Amino acid sequence: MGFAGDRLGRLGRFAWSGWSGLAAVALLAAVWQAGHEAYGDFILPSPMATATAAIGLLAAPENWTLLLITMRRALSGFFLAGTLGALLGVMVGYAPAMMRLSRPLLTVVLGVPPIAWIVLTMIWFGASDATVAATILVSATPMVFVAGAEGVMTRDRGLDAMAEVFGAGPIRRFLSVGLRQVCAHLLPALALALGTSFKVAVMAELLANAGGVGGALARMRAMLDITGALAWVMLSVVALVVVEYGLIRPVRAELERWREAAQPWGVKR
Amino acid sequence: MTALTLTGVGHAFFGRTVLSRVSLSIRRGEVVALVGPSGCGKSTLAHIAAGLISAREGRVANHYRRHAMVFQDPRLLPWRGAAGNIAYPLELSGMSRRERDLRVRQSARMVQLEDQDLDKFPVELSGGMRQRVAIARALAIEPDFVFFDEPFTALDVALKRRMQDLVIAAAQQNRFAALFITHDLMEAIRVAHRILVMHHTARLRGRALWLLAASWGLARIVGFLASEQLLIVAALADLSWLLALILYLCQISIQRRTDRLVAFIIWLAALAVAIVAARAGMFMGDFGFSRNASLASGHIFLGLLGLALARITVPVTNHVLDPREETAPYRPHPGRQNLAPGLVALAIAGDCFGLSPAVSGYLWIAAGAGFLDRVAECFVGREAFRAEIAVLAGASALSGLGLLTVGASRLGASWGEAPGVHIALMGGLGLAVLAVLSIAGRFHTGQGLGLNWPTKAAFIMVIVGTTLRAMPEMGLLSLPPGPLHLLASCFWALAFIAWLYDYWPSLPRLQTDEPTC
Repeated sequence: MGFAGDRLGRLGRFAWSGWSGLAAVALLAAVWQAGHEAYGDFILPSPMATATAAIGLLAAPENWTLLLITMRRALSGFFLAGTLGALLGVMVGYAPAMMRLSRPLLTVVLGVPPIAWIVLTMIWFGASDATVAATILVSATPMVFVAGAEGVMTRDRGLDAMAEVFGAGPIRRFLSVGLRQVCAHLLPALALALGTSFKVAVMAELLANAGGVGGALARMRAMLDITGALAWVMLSVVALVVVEYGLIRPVRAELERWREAAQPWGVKR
Repeated sequence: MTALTLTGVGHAFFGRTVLSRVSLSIRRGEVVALVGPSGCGKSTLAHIAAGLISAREGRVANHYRRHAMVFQDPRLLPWRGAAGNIAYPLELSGMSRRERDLRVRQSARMVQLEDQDLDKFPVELSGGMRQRVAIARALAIEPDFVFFDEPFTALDVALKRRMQDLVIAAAQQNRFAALFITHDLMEAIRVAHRILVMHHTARLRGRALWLLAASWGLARIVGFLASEQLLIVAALADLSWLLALILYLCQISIQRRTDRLVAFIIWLAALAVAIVAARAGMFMGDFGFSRNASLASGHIFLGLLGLALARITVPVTNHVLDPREETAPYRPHPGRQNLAPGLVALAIAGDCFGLSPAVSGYLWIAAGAGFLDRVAECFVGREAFRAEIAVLAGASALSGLGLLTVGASRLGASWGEAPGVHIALMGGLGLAVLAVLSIAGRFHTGQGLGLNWPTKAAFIMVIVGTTLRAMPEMGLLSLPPGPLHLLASCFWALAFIAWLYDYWPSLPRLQTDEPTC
């Protein structure tokens, strides 16, 4: 009972924190509105107009398809990048020599601007899902990889020794002691990677003319429809928020209950 | 009936001897305190007995079912509540949930933890509470042996006393045997049935004869190199090699240590491989094999060196188990720390599979960079700057530069491949010697490269001599080969004298001041 009650309490606290979210959004809208009033409708449409336009876009089923296409691409790229990065990162974390070998490689990969990858993948895969997924893979994997490796390397070795004394084998030790410590590093990186996936997906779609939200944005740009463009931006941000709060946050909250216990009241929510 | 017996246990962290020949035995149900100044290897001993570190020498025999340990810091899993932490070892032993809950409650009561504290996370508990949870965790699995590794050092006097009472009561109730490590004599008197005092062991002194034998082995290799012009050096080397062998066998018969014989055979085998490979690689061309074939065998030689090199341990800071302790055990993972062998193996494989010159060039450059990468690693760690480390670093650097040259020449650099191979061979030779010495030394004295200054001097002189010998062939010096070779043999002679000096003052034996247990 205590378990369920605790979870319910956390859910309630989390839902209640929606108010502070609303406050932040309202502040942003205020600044936006001020900008709108200073520069006029053409440069910056008002937030309300944008929101109305976004809702209008959602009324048409083909726009849902566009949004779902982008989400599918972003998520598939994210899952690929997350799995690959986490696996490689953890493996490399346990082998310091490999870490030394992979660090310069990472610098090289991170140094290549994402735009360049889009151009390359466009040539390799054409205007398809693979272009978008590959671009996401290249730009999001390194940060997950680094987080995984760091998580393993900064783990508390004393806990490993403790588990060994009580008879845990290497696999058991990793699962019960190592993994939790890796997750503490990995989850923030995954949240970041998810955001990157969405951004890169839209950018890749726009440049590769591969449909989805990016394609819609390209069309709006061609028609100089600022309100429409902003509406699409708003929709993609909302999609990201939905995915992040539906996917990453619950897992993180579940794993980090003990951290929450140590936080002062004001930060807790 | 004994619960735990240690016989002649010794340990060294990279040449620094922490323990040597410690023997003790603990009866069933007996609490034994081990006291001594900090840094004399008490914790290391407990870790060896608990199987966390494998001892370099000696035997650990335990006759108990299950052991547990209470560490100096609580070492609780921060993401689990107190109850979850106490249940952790029970989960590992595969106990059912219901039984687990029961046991958790029992052992929590034993250490006077209240039920409301059981749901709290470690961050929400005070220091004394945390240590109580750690004790409860150890007691929950109903061990018949408990290691206490300075468990109450961080606690204040009143709390310490309560904790001690707790341990005394638990020992009476559960009838476990315990090794209680502390540097507080009063604590030892209160808690234990018997007290063992450990004082600083003197460092293992005295060079075993293996060094001499190894040095003569080196002289023998040098003899091969020199046999074309300076036959007398080769003859001298052979003679001394024989002498070393005789002395060595004498020592074995005196000390009656069969493991020494085994070590010696392994040592011989390693040397034989190095000699044969070096010989084959360097002189195959003379027997009408193509230049490529002789280069390939040279590479194989280097590969073997790399593999041998992987066995040399170098302390690396991120493997320190417990940085707060003086005797922080280094846990080097030689294979994983060292890039060079893997990269060299890759490059050799590339050659074997007939990759294009450009691809294999890049692979060789990677291999050379791997060797150079190792150089920096040699100096990581507190006591790492020692002469043999410097030699190791120098030899690695030489190998790395040589392989870089080889790689660059394959990519079309104008300076050619042969000098690179020579440089790499020089470095490789130094590394081979170090590797063989290290292996022999490990088997022998239980320390890695515990070399004294004459040996270090000898090392350096041999390498200088060998380099001098090779210089005209590499086209680095325009002097005629004759005088240079003479100079080189002077260095070898100096090396010989250094070793002799090392050997002479005292007959080689392992001097140990046994801790009074």
